[in-house]
Amino acid sequence: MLDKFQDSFREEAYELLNDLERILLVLEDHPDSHEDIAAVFRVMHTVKGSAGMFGFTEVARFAHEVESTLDEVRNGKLPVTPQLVSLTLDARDHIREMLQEPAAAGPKFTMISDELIAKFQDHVSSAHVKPGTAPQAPDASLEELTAEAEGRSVSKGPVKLAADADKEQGSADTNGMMGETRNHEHPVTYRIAFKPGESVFINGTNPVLLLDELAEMGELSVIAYTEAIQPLGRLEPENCYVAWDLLLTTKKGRTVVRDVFMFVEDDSELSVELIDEPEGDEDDHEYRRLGQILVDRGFAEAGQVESIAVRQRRLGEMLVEDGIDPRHVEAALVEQEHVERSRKKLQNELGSASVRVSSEKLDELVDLVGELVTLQARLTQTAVHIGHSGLTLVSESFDRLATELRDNTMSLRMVPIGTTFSKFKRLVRDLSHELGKQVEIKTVGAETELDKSVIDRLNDPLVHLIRNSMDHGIEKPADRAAAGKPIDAQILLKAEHSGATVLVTVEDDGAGLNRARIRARAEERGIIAPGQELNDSDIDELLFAPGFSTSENVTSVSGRGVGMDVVRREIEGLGGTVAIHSTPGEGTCIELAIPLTLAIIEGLLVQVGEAMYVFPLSAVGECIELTHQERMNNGKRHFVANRGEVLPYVVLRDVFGVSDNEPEIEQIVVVSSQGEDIGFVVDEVIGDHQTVIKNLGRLYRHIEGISGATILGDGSVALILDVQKLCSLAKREHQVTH
Amino acid sequence: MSENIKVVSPEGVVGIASCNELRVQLLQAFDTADPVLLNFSHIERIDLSFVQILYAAVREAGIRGVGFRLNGEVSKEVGEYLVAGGFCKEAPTEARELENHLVELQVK
Repeated sequence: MLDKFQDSFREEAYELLNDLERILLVLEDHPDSHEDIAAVFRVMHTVKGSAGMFGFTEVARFAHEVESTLDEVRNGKLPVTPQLVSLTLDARDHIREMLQEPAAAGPKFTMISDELIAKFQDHVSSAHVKPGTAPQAPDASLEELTAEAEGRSVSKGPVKLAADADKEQGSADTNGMMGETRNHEHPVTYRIAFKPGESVFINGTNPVLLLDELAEMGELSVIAYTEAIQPLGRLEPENCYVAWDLLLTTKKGRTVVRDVFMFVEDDSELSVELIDEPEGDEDDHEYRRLGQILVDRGFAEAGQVESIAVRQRRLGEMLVEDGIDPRHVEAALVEQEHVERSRKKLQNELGSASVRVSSEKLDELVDLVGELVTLQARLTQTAVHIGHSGLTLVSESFDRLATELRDNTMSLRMVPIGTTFSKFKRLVRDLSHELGKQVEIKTVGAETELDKSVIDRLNDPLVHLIRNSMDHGIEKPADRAAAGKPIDAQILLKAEHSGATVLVTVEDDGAGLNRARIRARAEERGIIAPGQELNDSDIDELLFAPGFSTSENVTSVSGRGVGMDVVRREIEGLGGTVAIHSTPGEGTCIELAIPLTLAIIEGLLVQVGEAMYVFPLSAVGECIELTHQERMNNGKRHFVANRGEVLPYVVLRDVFGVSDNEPEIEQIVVVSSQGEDIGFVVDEVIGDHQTVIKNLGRLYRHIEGISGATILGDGSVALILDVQKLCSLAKREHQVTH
Repeated sequence: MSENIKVVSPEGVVGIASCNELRVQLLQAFDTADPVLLNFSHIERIDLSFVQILYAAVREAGIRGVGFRLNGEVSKEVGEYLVAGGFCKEAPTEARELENHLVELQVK
């Protein structure tokens, strides 16, 4: 059972540590941000507390030591410096490692912990700021923010106690003084009794505007007391006679609520009492009974309520008959209604909140939906074959439901690419220090969604590209200055939707590709013949040759030649493509086109000989006819005229070695590859097909031009064509033959 | 039998600066007329001092046994102010609605 909780804690801790990394990087640029300092402290405090609770004692011990240093920072005794940020990032990484490998906990981790703790201690003793040089002591808001992490209250100086301050104190004690300043996890309800001083208008305050301010914090019910308004003959228009009972449901802490009255409370009667703090798991929404509210408010005696209650009539009416002020009864009813409404709202919100589900379970669900889609195709085919109208009707309804289920299931796996992007900020920061370059990373389109499995596999290629860019593309500051460029270099990481693919680009403003050097290295390594005629695009392609590197030295960053070929292999493994655009002196842009999902795609089913094949529909532009006569006329020249352009085509019968006679009229499926159209000649286009992608077995995995397989409605298998690979094979063949 | 009606029509922003004048007008109207009509049509904005005068006027009319009617359109700002202060549950568009909805006001 503990393991289950530990897993849950670990998941949450990873999220917290990711947040910590992100906040630290922001803090490095904005060292005076009290809010970020408090947030860093809060994360470390939470990790420490939870780690101890779930048996990660070394993590708790280490986090406690780091927290002590952060405590100095939030108290203004220690400044935020790049060194401190680096140390805290190291601490963050160390905690993550300890969480990842709890089984390996022992001397190894303890030793690293101790080393890091010693570094923190050294930093504290050497960096303690001298009087006068200290950053400004944190203001009240910082104190409040950090108090939140500690769960302690902060006094904001003397506050005039209201008439029923005793009651308020009692309530505060009940809540352990926790709710004074911090925001609550769920909305709580306060009862605010506010009677402005008579002279409040003269001070220039409009009390109703204060109520507006409260209304902005949450849900507010307002009960106005007008009994004290004087008769018209004696009324002084500049005096205030109205008082209010207010019920506010908000997540704000009591101090924040009270602060609304900051400028009037000295002359007013004010009490802010926490009357309801639901956890969201209450069995029902029912609040205290009317009589109890009136007794609690001091407007009725308990005995009085009890004796009336036995009369079995509407309590409110009877209480009024018994002399209770109808306004007080009404106010109690408003309170009852307000709290019950708020509780119901909270429960509804919690009911619709997100649920954490393991990705394995999602994968299983997608697999099952894939099976269902396959079965549905089979049912459709059977229904058509039998020709039974009832079965056809059921099959069509099933088809609609299966499609909806598929779309919903796929959307569950879609996550924003920003989760990956944020990791690269840290990578760029660390590499900048290591390489002595000043590089800033900018991200665009972080909200772009991709299938989780695609995002997971995108990480390594992007790391390679950023490393390459920083090591080879971006110049040293002195070189940039000499070239008249800003010393601060930029890497732009961008994602955007483009049809059924997402384009991810890594663009730098570095020196661009050194094509002469690439060419020389390729000749040196025998990849090309000396003096071979190549255009820029061909030279750029050389970068993708296995093991190719222009680095003279192997560094920890790059130079082992395991970069670009690995990137291409990974991206092509995802069914995507890689393209390079580079301008000397201006920079390089590498564009990855990635399919949205790897599980189920819209396909175009075609027939070649006896076999079925699937084109990813996203790649298909159009289908045109090719008559036997045209093919004969073309001979070995595989070109047709299409829309005024010359369209090269590949005959799939030739590619797959189909020897029986081709039909009189064939179809050309026109697909687009890197801006160029290529046609693939097939016997027949069957139509669109929901394609559940199945991996090929190990033996068939490396067949060029095939990316997977799918099961058709009749149970037979269709191969999914790797269009990009087929196109590049066709281009290569075209180059060889011409 | 003809009624001796007096219409009081405050204008613009009716707040602490002009409310004493309104109070005096209403008192004089209650002395001399029955019923008294308070016309909201030209009131753009109000503050709490107007609301207090309104409540006091209703009570005054009740004590004296004089009819007191509210009429005219209620501006959006006035309606919202009355709701924000807890004097109305819904923002009225016609002053007549206030006779039924203004909390505690039961105009005769």
